[in-house]
Amino acid sequence: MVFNRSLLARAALGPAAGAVLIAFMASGAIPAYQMYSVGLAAVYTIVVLSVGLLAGWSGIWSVGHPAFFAIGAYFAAYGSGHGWTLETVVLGAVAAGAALGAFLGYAGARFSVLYIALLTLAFTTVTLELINRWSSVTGGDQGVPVVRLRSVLGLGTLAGGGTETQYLAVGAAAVVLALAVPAASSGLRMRLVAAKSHPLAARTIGIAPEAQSALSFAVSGACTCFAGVLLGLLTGFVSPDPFSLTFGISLIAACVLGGVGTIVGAVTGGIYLTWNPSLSSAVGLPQPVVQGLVLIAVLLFLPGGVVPFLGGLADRVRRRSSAQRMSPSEELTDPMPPPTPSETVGDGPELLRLEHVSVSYGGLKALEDASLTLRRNEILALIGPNGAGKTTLLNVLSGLTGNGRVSGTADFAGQPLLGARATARRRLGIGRTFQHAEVFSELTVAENVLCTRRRITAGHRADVTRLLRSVGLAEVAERRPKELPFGLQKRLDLARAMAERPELLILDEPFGGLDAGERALLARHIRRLHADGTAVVIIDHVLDDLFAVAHRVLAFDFGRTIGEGTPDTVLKDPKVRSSYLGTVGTRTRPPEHVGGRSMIRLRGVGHTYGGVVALRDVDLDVRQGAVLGIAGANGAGKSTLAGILHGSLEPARGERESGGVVRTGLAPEGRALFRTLSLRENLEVAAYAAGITGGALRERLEETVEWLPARLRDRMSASAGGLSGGEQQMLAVARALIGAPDVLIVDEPALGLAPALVDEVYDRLTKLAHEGLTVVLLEQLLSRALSVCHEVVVLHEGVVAAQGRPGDPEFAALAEAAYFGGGLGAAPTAAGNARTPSVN
Amino acid sequence: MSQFLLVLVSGVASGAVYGLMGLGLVIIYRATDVVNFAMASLATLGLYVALSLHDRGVATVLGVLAAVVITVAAGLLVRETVIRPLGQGQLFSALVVTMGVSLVAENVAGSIWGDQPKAFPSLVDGTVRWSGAAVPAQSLLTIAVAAVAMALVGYLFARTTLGSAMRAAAESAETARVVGLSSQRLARISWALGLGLAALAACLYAPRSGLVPTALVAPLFRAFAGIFLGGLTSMYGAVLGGLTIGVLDNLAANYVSASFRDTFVFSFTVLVLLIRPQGMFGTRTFQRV
Amino acid sequence: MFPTKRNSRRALGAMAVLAAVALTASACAGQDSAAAGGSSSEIHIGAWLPLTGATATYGVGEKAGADAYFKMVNAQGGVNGRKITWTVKDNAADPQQTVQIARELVGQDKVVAIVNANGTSQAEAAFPFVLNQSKVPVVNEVGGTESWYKPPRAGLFGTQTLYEDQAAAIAAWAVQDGAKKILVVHSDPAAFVNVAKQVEPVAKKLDPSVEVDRLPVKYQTTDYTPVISKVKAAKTQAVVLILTSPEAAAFLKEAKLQGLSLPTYAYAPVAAESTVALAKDAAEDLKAVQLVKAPSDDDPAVKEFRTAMATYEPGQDAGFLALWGWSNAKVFAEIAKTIKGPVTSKAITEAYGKASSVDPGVSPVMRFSASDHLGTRSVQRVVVKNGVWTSVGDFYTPPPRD
Repeated sequence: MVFNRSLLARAALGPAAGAVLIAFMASGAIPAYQMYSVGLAAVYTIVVLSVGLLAGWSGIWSVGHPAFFAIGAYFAAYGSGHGWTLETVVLGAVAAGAALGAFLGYAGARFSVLYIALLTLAFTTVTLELINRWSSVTGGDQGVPVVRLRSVLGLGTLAGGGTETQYLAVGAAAVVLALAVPAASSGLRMRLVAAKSHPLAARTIGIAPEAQSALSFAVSGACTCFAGVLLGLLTGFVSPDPFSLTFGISLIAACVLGGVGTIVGAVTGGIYLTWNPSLSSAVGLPQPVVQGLVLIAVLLFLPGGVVPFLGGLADRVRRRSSAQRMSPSEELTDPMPPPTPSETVGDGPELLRLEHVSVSYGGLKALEDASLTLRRNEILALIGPNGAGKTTLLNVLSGLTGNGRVSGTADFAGQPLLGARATARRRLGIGRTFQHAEVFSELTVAENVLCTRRRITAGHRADVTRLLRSVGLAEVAERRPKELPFGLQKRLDLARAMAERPELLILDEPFGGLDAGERALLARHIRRLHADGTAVVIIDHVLDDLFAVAHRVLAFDFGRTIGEGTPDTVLKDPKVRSSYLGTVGTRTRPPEHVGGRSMIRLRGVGHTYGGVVALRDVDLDVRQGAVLGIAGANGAGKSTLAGILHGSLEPARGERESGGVVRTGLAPEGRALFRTLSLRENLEVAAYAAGITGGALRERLEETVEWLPARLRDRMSASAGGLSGGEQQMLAVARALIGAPDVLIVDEPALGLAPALVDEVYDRLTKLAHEGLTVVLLEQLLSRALSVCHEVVVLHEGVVAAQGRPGDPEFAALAEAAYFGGGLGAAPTAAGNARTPSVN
Repeated sequence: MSQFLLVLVSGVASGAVYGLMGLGLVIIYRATDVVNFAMASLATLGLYVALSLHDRGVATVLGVLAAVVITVAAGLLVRETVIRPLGQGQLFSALVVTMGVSLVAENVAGSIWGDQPKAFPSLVDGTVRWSGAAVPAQSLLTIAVAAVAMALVGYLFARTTLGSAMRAAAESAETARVVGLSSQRLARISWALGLGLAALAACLYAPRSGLVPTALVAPLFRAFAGIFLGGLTSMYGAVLGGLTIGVLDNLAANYVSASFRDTFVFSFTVLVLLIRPQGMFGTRTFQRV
Repeated sequence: MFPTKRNSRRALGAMAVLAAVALTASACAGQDSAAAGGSSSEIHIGAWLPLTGATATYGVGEKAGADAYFKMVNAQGGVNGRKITWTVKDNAADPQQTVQIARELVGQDKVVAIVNANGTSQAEAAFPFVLNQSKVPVVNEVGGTESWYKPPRAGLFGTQTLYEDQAAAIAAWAVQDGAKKILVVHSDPAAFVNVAKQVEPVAKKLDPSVEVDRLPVKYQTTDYTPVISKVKAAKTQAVVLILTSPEAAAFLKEAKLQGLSLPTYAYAPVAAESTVALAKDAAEDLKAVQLVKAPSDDDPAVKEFRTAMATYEPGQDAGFLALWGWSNAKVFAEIAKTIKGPVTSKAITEAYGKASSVDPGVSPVMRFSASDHLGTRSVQRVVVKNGVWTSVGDFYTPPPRD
């Protein structure tokens, strides 16, 4: 921990406020009859702080704190009756609180928030029952006095209920607050918050959530027990009445009111808890009503609590005055010249070796018999269509396979890897990033990186500052990630993975969702990492960027390796190429009876998700009776377009027009069936949603069931989760059909299906088209789209990159080039320029 | 033997009440991610209205109906005014808001109808002789009514399209949106159903306990223990969990130690959860990258 | 260290803390100058009562009765010309709040005595400040244990027959009625257990051949079916209930349902209107002891109570709890009348010590002395007749306990 001046100054605030308060008390400025209340407020402050920081830092909402409070108070009472010294009582109470807290925290880490609430509720109930029954120690419901406690450390003898105890309470609260301040900027807090806000990502940087929650609950319990001792002394009498579940709820109210996880908020909460009765009598309402109304009002209008709200106001005022000098994505200084990539390829010593690794979830094989080796100075790219097993492989490396069964062997730097826990892999030298930049939303940018360290020194802080500067995040070091655009969040994810200079860096779709400039910058970073001696495993769908940095490429499909080569050669492998583009079968295209009537028309449609552009300027015309194919690689914007065509997604820009009343039915990507519902129920629900009920529903159901293959018709009562992928797809299409749509939109129907099943699904879709239904088919495989559709639109990075008719002999090559974005092996092209790409 | 039979029957009767309340909690939780702490106190409001009607000579059955209607109306009002504005997925905030509502509602009941305990009419009186034991008819009626209500709920969810839609929305709100189900409508129906069940449970419980503003807090906590035991998202779990708690509770009080009943019940629940953190029937959610 | 926005937040927070401190200080400082007791025109007394929370029933009832009495006395010219001001604050049955209230009442409101407050552990938490430090008497508190009066504590006077003596009175009653086998059904917290234990020695003293058994029931149980079945199996001749009123009602209802008909006796907390309201006709013939006469009695003192309640506290129940409050208020006023000169805390304490016979009419004659600060050990026997609590005979003093 670093104690610098500003931290010391802030840590001193607690004692300063305490000293001022004690001076006030001693001078008589605070009337005697309020002295007890001031002491009580100090004690409550400690308890609210314990509950609030536990909730704010570890995400554990405890209603067990009345029990800890009680245990402390009874320690004081028992100690006073048996001649214990003050110090013995405090140590005993703190030890008991820490032990019980550690147990609850450790047990609770297995549970979700609500289950922890029950666990702590049980703890309070049981403790109260024991207190009530164990009359020989606790006096039962009659209570026991706290007469006096003698101090061996020279604090004299404290009489229960005496004036000294009021000073003691204020002083103790001041000390606890003073300790909490440096804790708030320590690595401890960051690691707690990290474990809370994203347990999985936390594991990848070596933080074990169980240990963290046990630790924080232990500290919280110990503090509350200490406060209990103070309460016993302050009041001079202990009985079970104050430690009820109602008090537990009041504590939560006080935390929420002040602001969860803030130190000043705890003080506010303590004050509120103490003077709530006076407040109630002042406004003339019963106490519970005031408490209930305060709770509701705060959560509705100031969800963060009073203190953060006021702090936010102050910040806003301050920000406005310091103007808008931040535009972080613009200033990208790159001190180092871009090192040339492929000069030292593949001759380093072996770092990683995977042999015959398989992963299965239940019956589903996510990865089958994967083998690979990686050298120390190598950048290895893994490619393959969606569902090929790439992410699973990354999860094997970082230990995040969850409850999947992993077999095979893996060696990393000479040590077996598969047995190591996820939290241990960071220490082994493996860092990883996530597809969606799983950063810790409640920590600042700098803290996101700092929390990888257990103890934070000034040197670490300097390192982090340097690291952030190198990735262009120095300006936003104190911002929260969610205030940043997605691109910067991904950079932060990368910075966090790089923080301790791992030997192996795993990058999960690092280019996804970035614009051209950001992608170029990222490529430079990756090359620089390589120059520094880091091995990199990288998966992505943006092939041109990927190939620009990789030394070697490994292609996957259906959980197996299907090809290997350099970026220049791998796509020449027909197996690899067909896994993306498909093989053109002998399917017959339905006869074209395209009417002139336009069913759905999009004009200048664009859409973004949280700053990431998914679609840009799309013009599209879906004509009656046509089969329109929309082809594009993963992430090209197909599903967004499907949603907009369907009408369930409102485009951010542009217009969607439909000719008259056009009913649309969507079979979404990944099928999105209700897995726990039966086949029939899946269909019924869709009909119900379309407003079809009663006899009409039965009729439609019968017709739709007729459309299904016989093997599904016989299993209408089975749950949809038990169907195979192809069967699920069939059901998803049937579900889209039950509303008798004029336009059927099918998003990636072939995803994850074996070829035979793909054929069956397509045959059925073609048959529908034969019968005159307008179909929009969104397809990852260009060749498949070309083989069945009347018209094909190629989507690349949210833009229509090519459009034409499969019959046109030139179109196939044009479409293929558009699909990969500017042609194979060419330099990365900015999106939008790819409309007329060169053909390779 | 007759003693054991009595203990068992009254355990099952209590358990049926906890199960009904738990079922209501689970239905609301599955549909809207809200653990409705205010359910008990809203049902108490319904009970007071029913009692007022009864005192004016209205038939008890109509009173029960009124209790259900009032509870449902109060619940929907609460949802629309203070829960919905919180937004989706605010698990904790919603829980705390319902705690606040519960504090206010109990006090409103107290200030209108007083804090003095009042008797709530039973639907039936008398006992039924059964292998040497005089089993109270009210217990048997409680079990029967709860069983019928549970069967109806089961029918609704398993056999009707509306039920399928509710299960669908509970399984995946996102998919439900894609399919075009109106989540708000389903949420309202779920709240109404959940609160209706709570009111019914309250009407079965109150004749034995008498009516004070906090009368239903104790069974609510038992129902909570029941649904945690059964698994928060499982309706079977809620019923079986409630029954387990009810029976265990009574067995513990009569054969283990009256004084350590809560310790016994909660320790059992926590032990089960330590072994199966998702509850007996809950589904483990697997976190994917 | 990066410049943080929490910096400003903390500075703001610190200011907030200091401001709160200063505000509290200044808000309270202004009113700190009232004269210490002994005003010539009024007697300012106070009380903490649970007006919200689990025991609110008690607080609300007691407050109504005492308010009615004080309003009546004030309307009639007060005590020796002084009006009584009775300041009541809600403690929600919480000891911490009680201490806060005690300090406000004594320090800010300058009350000369705490009269007719409620709660045993709550009062005990306030004793160090009120009794020991401020020497303000606490009189006529509802609640209390034997340890409050043995040995007598300066300034602490009680008017409520101890639960232990109530148990003794019940035991004597049951034995007098001829029961040879008595079963004490009691709730399981210590406060009930201690009382239940008092039945056996007294019964055996009166008739050594009597058998007494105890059956503990979990506090706040509503399901008495198994309990009644156990009582039946015990083949007892009389039942003594040391339960709360709703528990006793549950017992009675279930007993009636299962055809168990035994002479049943209960202590004062059961002798409440709520027992009859909850148990309905199952409460018929239930015998109990009370601190006061039945509110339905024809006795003139009770009539005066009913009239005053109707006049000054319309809408409030003129029941046992209100009568407790009334009785306590009356005992205080009667003793305050004997004070010549200013009514100070000291004067009140002294007057109580000398009050050798105060007859409130509605409750037993209170006899205080320097060595006995508990005014009475007597009870009124009451029985439910036609759904109404009715007094049986005069006040009864149980045989002494060992």
